[in-house]
Amino acid sequence: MPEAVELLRDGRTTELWGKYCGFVNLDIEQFMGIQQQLLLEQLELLQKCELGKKLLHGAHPGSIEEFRERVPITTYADYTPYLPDQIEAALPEKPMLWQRTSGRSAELSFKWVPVTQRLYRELGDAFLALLLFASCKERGEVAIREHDKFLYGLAPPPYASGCWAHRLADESIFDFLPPIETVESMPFQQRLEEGFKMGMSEGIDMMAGLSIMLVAIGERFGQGGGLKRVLPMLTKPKLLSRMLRAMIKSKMAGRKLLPRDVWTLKGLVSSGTDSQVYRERIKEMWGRYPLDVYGATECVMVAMQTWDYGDMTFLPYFNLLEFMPEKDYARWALDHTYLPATRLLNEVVPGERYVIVLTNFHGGAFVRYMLNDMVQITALRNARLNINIPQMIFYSRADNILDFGGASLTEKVVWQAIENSGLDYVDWVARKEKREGPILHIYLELRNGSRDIKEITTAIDKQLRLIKEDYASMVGAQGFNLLEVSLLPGGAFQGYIAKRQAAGSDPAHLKPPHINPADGVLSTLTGEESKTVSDKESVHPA
Amino acid sequence: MGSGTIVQFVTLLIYFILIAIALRYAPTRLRTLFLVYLIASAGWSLTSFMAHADFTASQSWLWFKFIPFFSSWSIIAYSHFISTYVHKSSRLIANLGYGCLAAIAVLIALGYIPRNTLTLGEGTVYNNYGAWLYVLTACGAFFTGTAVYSLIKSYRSSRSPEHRNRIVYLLLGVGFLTVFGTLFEALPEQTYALDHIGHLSNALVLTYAIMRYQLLDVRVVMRRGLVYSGITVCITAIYLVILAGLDRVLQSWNNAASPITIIITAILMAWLFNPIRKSIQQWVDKLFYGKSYDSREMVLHFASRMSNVLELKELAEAMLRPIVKALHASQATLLLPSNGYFNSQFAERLNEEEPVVPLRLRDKSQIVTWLSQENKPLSRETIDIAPEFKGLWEVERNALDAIGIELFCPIMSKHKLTGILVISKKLPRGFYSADDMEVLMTLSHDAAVVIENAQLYAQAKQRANTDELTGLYNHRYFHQRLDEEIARCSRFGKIFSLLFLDLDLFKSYNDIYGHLAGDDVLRQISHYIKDSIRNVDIAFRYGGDEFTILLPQTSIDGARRVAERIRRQIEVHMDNKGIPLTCSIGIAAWPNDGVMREELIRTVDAALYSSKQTGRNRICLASEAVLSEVIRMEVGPESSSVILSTIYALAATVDAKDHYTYGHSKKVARYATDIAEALGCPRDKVDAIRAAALLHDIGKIGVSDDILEKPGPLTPEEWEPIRAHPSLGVAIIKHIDALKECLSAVQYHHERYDGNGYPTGLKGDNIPLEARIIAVADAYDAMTSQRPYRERVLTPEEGLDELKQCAGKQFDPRVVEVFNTINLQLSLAEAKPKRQPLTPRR
Repeated sequence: MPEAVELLRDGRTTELWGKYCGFVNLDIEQFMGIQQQLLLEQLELLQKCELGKKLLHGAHPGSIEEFRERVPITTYADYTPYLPDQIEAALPEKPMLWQRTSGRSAELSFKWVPVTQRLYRELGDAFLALLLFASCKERGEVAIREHDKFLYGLAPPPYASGCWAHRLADESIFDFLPPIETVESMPFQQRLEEGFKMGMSEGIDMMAGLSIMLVAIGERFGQGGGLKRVLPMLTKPKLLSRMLRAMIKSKMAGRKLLPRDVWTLKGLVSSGTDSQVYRERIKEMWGRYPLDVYGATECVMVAMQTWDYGDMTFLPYFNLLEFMPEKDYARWALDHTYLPATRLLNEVVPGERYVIVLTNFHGGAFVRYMLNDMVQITALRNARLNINIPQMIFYSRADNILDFGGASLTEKVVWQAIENSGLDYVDWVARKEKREGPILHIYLELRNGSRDIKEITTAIDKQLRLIKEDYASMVGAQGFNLLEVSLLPGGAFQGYIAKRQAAGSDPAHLKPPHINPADGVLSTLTGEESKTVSDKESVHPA
Repeated sequence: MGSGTIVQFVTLLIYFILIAIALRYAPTRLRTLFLVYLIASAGWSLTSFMAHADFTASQSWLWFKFIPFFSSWSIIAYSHFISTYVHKSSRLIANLGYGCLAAIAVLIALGYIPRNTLTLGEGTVYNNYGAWLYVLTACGAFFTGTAVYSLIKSYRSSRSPEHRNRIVYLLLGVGFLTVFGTLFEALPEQTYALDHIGHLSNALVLTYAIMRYQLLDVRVVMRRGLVYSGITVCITAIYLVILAGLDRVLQSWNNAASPITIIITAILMAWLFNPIRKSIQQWVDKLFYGKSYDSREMVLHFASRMSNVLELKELAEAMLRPIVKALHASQATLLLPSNGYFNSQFAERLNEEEPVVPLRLRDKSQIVTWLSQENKPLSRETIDIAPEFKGLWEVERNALDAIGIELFCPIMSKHKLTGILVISKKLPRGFYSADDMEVLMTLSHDAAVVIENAQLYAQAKQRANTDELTGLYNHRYFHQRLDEEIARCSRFGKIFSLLFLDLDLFKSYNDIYGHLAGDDVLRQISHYIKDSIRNVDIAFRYGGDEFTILLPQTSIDGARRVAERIRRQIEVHMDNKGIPLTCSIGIAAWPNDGVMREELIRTVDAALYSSKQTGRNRICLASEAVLSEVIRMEVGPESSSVILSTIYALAATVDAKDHYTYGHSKKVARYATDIAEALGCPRDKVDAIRAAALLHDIGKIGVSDDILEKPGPLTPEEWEPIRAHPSLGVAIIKHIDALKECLSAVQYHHERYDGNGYPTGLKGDNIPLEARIIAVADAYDAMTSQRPYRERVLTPEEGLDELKQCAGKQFDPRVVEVFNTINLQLSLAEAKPKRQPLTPRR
């Protein structure tokens, strides 16, 4: 079978689209058919390995139904010691590499996850589909070309996103900025700087990065002196011409220089809770909406947006997807012996929220694994694009919901409200605290000076009411203010990060969690207590 | 009408056909551009033809004006198509080209192009472009050059042989255009329609590339029929030209005769041209298919040859070999359904020296499901690309790679998938055209009926040769197979052995437990037999409770081992299930024990008879049977086997008298033999103990059934005949010399070690050892089998415990200890399942 690059060279774009993006042409029966087949294959592997025998509890299920009835739901603790100790002989298939999670909110500081050769291969297909969706305007359109320049701004291996980059590099379609083989030893910041430097002369066609990073780059872009910056470029005509064109564009538009003046991106991919929060700003800065994908280290990818940048479409070939209704999850969280009934994708109800339970295919290790992510099914199909697979949005981490009885607020909602309030802020954290009753307490660090706290509270409260109807009705009905805002001293977050770095923390754990930070974390941010924060303290005990 | 006009006309017709067919398919950008090119080219041919045709002489100037427009459009459209095909950014070139075309249109409208028309000698007219000719030529050269440049660049960057092939043909087409175009311009008199010859050549090359190398992915558009149509058009055109020429010649001769002459000539020529057309079509086929032409013909005529085929093997031979030859397939495999899978049952390789690679697909595999639903060929590329195949198992995907599979063709009969034809890679480095697929599907349709018939025939044949009760082959097939084996071994100098197996006292079992239970036992026995033999061995139900087993290429020693395995399997399994059945087996070897079929059967039958006579549950070789016959003849009539047989039958009858004791004496014989062997008794003594154990209760023949079957304790009166049965047994057998060694054992087997037994009250070692052994064996079996006077059957462990408790009192402690040791070893060795008590019929 020709690889993507060969199909591209031969101009066989129909085949290229079909091979990588064809899953959007499936109907729900075909989708479930693939799930059934791959699960049966996986069960054969599980029944032959030590870990599988343990997780299946002696059951020999011959169908999805039997599997769901007889096999209990698992958490990472059930995979001890096989995954933490990387005991490869006990796994369904020998992994080709191990990935690790960033570790936040996990039972352990981080989790090791095996990736088999086949999962790795499928990962490449899915990532390419993501890029094709990010760069097309209509079904079947292939806008990418061989040697397009790709700036990859996500974490390096052994994090999952780093493996994605390596897998994509195997396809030999894109020229990575900087070349992927040279960046192994480079710190993330240096890699980005090098990439942008190369992008200035070579151009950038595709880009992947965290939304917050894209915003930060966009904000810094126009800063710096005109002639002083142009002079060194005189020796590099390509760079000079690109910058001059960009400057003319920005001058004509009467605004500061933005990345979109310098580069016309074919596609932009981002991931994370903040993708939806920052999407408008990213569009303004980079000229495109970022295409969002939902995945995790344990499950590779679950769903992705398509070319309408709307709700996400599920992928059939990574995991058996089960959906635990929100109320059943609440009961399961209290009592793990409770075996809740899950739903399959052809059984979900639009508007309902579910926690994802997944079983890896292709020799992966996880069996009925509780991912602790809550998604909301928005529709059973995407009518606009004629995609007949249920659509979803990421709702929240299941354990990251601030529940106020009548209203539940997620990280995304709070973030969106702060963002929409127009405040120029550095970062924030939020906790549910007790006064006379429960309140939402937001701790905010502003970028430039201070503002009246009442004004800030009113602005954020107004946005919360606009975004969350249940919040608005609850606050309106009870007639009191649920929100309290405190301003953190300037440099609070920078100081926290510095302390974490000094304590030798993992790069993924430098920033505090947005929701329910522990008391120790808060003390460090507020400057009330000056002490080294350990790994454990960064996770709220609740 | 000149030759140039004919070329233009033929070119026009070919373009019309291409356009008509291309219009039938869904438009893509590439197909649309190709269509635009075809329309422009057809326009060029049309305008040229009309300008030069006699019947448009008055408007020819108008047609002449359009020629430069269409010719330029054709070249620009071709360049645009090529640049799009090679996936090169074509917007600039296309815009430039269509800009030039617009300019040319304006120049034509203003009368600059062509400046005028010139007439040469013999009335040939052509356009005079003046200096504009150079502009037009430069324009054409530029766009042709860009096309060539794009093609060469794409050729260099591509690693795909298919893509490179297509580009070679496109280059060839452009080459024709360039060469003939240059000649046309270079020659002083433009009278040969050389530009149209180049044009026609390009059209033909494109047609060939589309058909042979799937250019444009319009696989079905350009089939062989297209070439036929082209040829037919050419021949018709030639035919018309000849007729027209003839008409002119005849008109100059005699006007009156010409109509009749023309009609006759036309008929004659039509008669002559038809075979020419056929020959040319055949020649085209050969040109397209090369060496595979004959095989392809054979494949196409497969149906007529297969109408009477009923054997799958014959079908596979007739189908697969021509396929690999015709299509140059590295391997052709026929998958047939069996036990939830489609397995490769027949395969052929192009290179016969290479080993055939097997393939197996689950019947739930997406490939099988797809073929069942779609009923059309499935290519490897579709499997790799279509999302519904994402669920394919890795092991299946690897198998596809290992065999290099390119195509799956469903073989459907009555909407059911009866088989799959699997075609591996085309050699060397080719790929299958639409025509190939069509041939394969035709073949599959034809094969479906044959496969269904063959499967029905195989089933019927199987049924005719199979015993329905046991699933083994039947008596009829045994004789057929035996004849075949004798013939085969005679021809190749091989040997084989034959076993005859008969269940011991099966009739009694049937009488006691009923025929349904008997049938069940026969099924179980056949299962044990099948489990004990190799795949190449064949088991038959000879009739009733008799079975035969044919062991190809097996010596008598090997056969003895197989027989012992079977005997042991049956004994152990039956015993574990509480079914007191054993088997006797006779063995004969071909050719030592008989050359002819009847002779061999007679010999093996005698061996079976001999094993029955000598105690059952044993094996006897044909040579041993002959020996015992000789001994019997020497010893004399008083020890004749007839009497022995009668005695054993009598003992069995005693067993059979009582449902509870059915099979008792055989089990006692087994236990007693084991004990005797463990105690180190000599062979003849062991044999005597075995015989005595079989006959120990023969005296019960004189005890009434009421006493034997009484559930409660016996009265003193009732005990009398019971106490007398050992003496009665001795009275029965004492007249037979061969059994004189058994007398003491039969007489004293109810004596107790402590002296409280009967009939004589012997004590300790005064009781003969044989009797002490049988006493233990007898008691153990009685305790562990169901009895009317006992509520619960003891387990083997409980039975042993009871024996141990009674050791020194009722039984000889040494014998009990030995028996205990034997049982321990047996339970360790065999880990026997718990015996299930049998529920006898009341």
